[in-house]
Amino acid sequence: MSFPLKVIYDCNIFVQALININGPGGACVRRALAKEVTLVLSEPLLAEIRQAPTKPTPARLGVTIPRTETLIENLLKVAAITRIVPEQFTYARDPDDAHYVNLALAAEATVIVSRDKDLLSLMESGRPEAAAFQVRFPFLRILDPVQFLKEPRMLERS
Amino acid sequence: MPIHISQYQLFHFLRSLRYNQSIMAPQSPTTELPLTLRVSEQARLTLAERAAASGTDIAGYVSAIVEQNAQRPLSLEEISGLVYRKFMASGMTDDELSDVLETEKHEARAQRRLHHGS
Repeated sequence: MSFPLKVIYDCNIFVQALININGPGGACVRRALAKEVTLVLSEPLLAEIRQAPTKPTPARLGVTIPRTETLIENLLKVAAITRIVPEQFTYARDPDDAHYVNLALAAEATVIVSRDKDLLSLMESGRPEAAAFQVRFPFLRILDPVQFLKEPRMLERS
Repeated sequence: MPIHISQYQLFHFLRSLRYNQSIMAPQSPTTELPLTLRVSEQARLTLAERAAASGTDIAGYVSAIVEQNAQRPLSLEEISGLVYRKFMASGMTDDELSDVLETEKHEARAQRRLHHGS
């Protein structure tokens, strides 16, 4: 039996989707809203999305609290919420990024979509830290939105 | 049949309604759906206050919340509205937007760590 791929999106994927609806971030969020993938969210992730209106560029472009809340409300209609996220992984390079990995592990998601260079570096070859990560979590992939949208399959077997 | 609405769901329902202009009545004919809600006393009080502020009773208020929740998700175009038009007018590319959002995210995280002393 197959199910839609479980994915974690970095908070900025949502913010970027809100600003550039026709960009790769927008396409990723559309897939989630259409339930082509199973979006996984957590309270810390939602809290980071909620900060968008306080940041200079989103604020300048008209990303307001009501608009952000409307986006979140719509995401909550399609997403799975993971409330308990044990800390299995820590990441000195950016401690906040570790939550995305821990959320993926807790929710048994296999893909994290992000444009964060620190997170994406965990998929690079030739770096000891990345190699150790890939050995420890061989089932987990961290992709940028363009790579993710090229994925041939959006289903995974149970 | 008893229906349980968790405080988490209630929180998000109420949060979403706070930003809506008004509670809209459903456009299609309605049907009766008798339910027993099991919520905390605090939640009941909050519901009663919000219902009174909206000029309805708890049943009408919760019906509106359920109706709203059952509606299809809005499209990204509907949610973004003029934000996308402003972005297009800015001349910024998607990659430039990505870079600046990442920078601002890391600045906000650094500020938060500084504020929390960790």
